[in-house]
Parts: sequence; structure tokens; C-alpha cells
Amino acid sequence: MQVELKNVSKTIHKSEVLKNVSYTFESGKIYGLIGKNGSGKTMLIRTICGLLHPTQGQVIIADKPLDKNKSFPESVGILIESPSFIDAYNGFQNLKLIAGIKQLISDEDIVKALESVGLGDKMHLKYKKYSLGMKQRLGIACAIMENPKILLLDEPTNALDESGLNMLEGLLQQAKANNSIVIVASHDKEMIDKISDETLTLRDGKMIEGSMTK
Amino acid sequence: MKNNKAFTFTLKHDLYYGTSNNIKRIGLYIFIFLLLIVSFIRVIPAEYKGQITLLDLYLYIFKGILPISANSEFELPLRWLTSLFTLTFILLGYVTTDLSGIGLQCIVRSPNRSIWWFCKQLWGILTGCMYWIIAWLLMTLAICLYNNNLQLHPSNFMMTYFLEGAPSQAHIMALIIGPILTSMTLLTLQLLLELCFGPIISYILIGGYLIIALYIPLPIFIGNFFILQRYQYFFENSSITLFNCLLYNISLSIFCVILGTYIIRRKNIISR
Repeated sequence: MQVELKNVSKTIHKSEVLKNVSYTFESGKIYGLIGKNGSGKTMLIRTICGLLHPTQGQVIIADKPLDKNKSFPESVGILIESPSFIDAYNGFQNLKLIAGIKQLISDEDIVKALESVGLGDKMHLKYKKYSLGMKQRLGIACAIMENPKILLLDEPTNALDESGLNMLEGLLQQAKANNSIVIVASHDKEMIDKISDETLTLRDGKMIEGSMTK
Repeated sequence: MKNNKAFTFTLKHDLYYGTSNNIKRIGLYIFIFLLLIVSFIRVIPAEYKGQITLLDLYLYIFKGILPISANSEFELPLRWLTSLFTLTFILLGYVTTDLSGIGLQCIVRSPNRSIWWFCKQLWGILTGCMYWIIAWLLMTLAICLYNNNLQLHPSNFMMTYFLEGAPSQAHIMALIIGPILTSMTLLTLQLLLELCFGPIISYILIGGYLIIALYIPLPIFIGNFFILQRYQYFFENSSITLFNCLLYNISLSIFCVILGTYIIRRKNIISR
């Protein structure tokens, strides 16, 4: 499977946030997107997952373009900005709610996802009692729990400690081994260089360069 | 099949989470409504206590004002405005919060964006029903405790001080159905406005739309169907008729659903 960006541009409130971005992402690879704040990383992630429609160009996923009729990729897991869940529910309940939309996974799979991000013993704690790091881990669990074919993570390392970073790296490698397309956006160049097969740099909405890191 | 599953699940989420998330606002609405009930009981002279009916209480709270003319004295219909602003306050901000919170995870898993919107509109309509169920329960309970006179016709007290002429049974049915239908339409409209302009501006616009109805007795301003003191229009030779109530409310609701679908399919979903 491929995710193809064809001359994607996006203008929001007269500001061009993405400028003529073209690239093809392939299965079984981890792509790192780096760039300063405001370079367009989050906008690109949102465009790939269908939350934004390109002003020009196309996003083509498995040979089918995203448009007003086909809003979102078939199989996608996202972590965009700070994750937000329901305060009154615990971690497990929040994920069960979301998993209920597609009903692809069982309760056991949800528990496994929570354990894989280190929230196994915290899953019955209400979300409002979670620390920032725990909230981030829950966001990651939400993104990976359905084993999506496309995994989009925007600043996933926020609020994670060292064990969290190791956990994240392991999960990304696992997703890669499952032949998913993994796209990680971050301003942390060191982390991106460590985990990515290919690094893409965004500056002022333009994709500047790509490099093979492994 | 996928659409059905996603629709059912998203609706259940809205019904449960949307309602439980707004429990404080619903509590505030109940509190304010009780204050309105108490305000009615306080104005009743002792000699009329026995004859006050359930319909009297309903008419008092949602009376509104007669059409304003050059010669008429302006009276701000505080009870009417309060009851409507609490109605629209219950839903305020839910669309925005959902799209920037857990709703984001739900919407990307839906086959298309329209499902999310349909569920919101349906939840808005059901919230309108809930508003009226609570209102009638509270009014019924209050009258049971007061004098147990649950009749649905106005008393002499109401006829003397608040009404001009006696409403017929047909009028009374229209007076009950009209506001229920209108409140559901107002909520669908508010959800649409919030989708376009955000919560604060939508609330102001809805408020403005309701206030205009006080001044202009035309069916396009559906607040007219919520002003009970204008009941005499419902069957007389004017445009504020029961037929127009049904026509304009249903048309406006459908319009809100369709336009909202058009907008959500094209909307840039960005956190606020």
C-alpha cells in the first residue's frame, strides 16, 4: 500500500501552510517529519488523515483519492497534538468507546494496547487523574490499538520519560514489522534520526529534503 | 453496514456522553425552571389558589408578549427569554468540544463526516424533547403539590390578568405542540451556527433571532410559535398558523441538516 501526496497545497485564512508537497510513502517504513514550529508538520499529518482537504493537489491512499465522498483512510491511527479523552471514563473505557465505532478489536486487544504503553495497571483509573505522560501514552495506545495500516503520530514524545521513549520506539518498530506506513512528526531531530528509515524536512510548508537514515 | 454501525455507535456516544457531559447545565436549567415556577406561585392572590391549573403555569412561563406596535408599551418578556436561553445553553459548545476532543478519534474512524453531523443533529432534537419532558414533569409536580388541579384549560385568574379571550381546545393543542417543535428546530439551528461560527457567536445569533420574533410576527422567525400569548394568531387570518408552524419548523430543520452536511464535508477540522 502507498500514501501518495501529489502537489498538495493548503491555504488557511490566506496563509499557505503547505506548498506543493509531493511524496510517496510506502508500507513497512518509518518516516520522520522534522521542522520548526509552524513549518507545516501538523497540517501535513491532518491532510493525510483527511481532517483537512488540500486546496490543490490530491492525497491518494491505496490508489483511491481522499475527497468529499471518501473522507478518511480505511485504516488509520492518529495522535494529533495533545490527546483528549473523556474525563469521567477510565483509560479502558475511553479506548473501548473509540474501538466501538469500527468494532475491529476485542476487549483483550484493548488491554494489550494499554499494557504495551505501560498503562496496564492504570487502565481503571479515571482519565482526569492521569498525568500528562499517562495521557500521552493513552493517546499512543488509541493510535495503535487497531493495528492500523497508516499510523500518524504528531509530536508523540511530548511528556514521555525515557522509558516512554523506549516504549514508543518499540511500538513503531512493531508497526513497521506489521507493514504499516508510519509517519512521525517532531521537532526533535535526534529522536527522528534514531527511529526513522527516512527523514523529511518541512520548512514554511515546503518539503525540503529526504534522506535515508538506515 | 459500516455506515449503520458507525451511526448507531456515534449516536449512542452523543446521547450518553453529550447528556452526561452537560449534566451541570441540565441541573442549572432545572434550578432556573423551578425559580420560574416559584415566581408564578408568588403572584397568585390567595382567592384564586384553588382554581389555578397546569395550563396557567405553562402559559405564565412561556407567555412572551403580544405583538409590539407603535402604541403598545414595551415589556421585556424575561421569563420567556430565560426559558429559551437556558434551552440553547444546554447544547452550547458541544460540537466544538467534540471536534477537538474525543470526537476527532470517532470521526476519523467513521466512513464519512456526514454520520458525525447527523448524530449531532439527532442528539440536538432529542435534547429538545428532554427539555420539554423535564419542563412538563416539573410543572406537573409543582401543580400537584400546590392544588392538584392538572387541567389543561386556563383559569379565571389567567383570563383576567394575562389573556385576551379564551383559547379553544384546538388553540391549546397548538400551544403545546408549537413550542416543542420550535425548540427542536432552534437546537438544530444552533448546532449549525456553532459549526460555522463557534459557540459564542452562535449563541448571540440565536438570541438575536429569537428577539427579532418579539418584534416581527412572521413565520420565518420561528420564535413566534413559542410565544403563547399570540395564540389567537394560530387560527386567524395571519401567517402565524399551526400549518406554518409545522411547515417552517420542519423546513428549517431539514435545511440545517442539509447545509450542515455540506459544510462538515468541506470543513477544515483544526483544533480551536
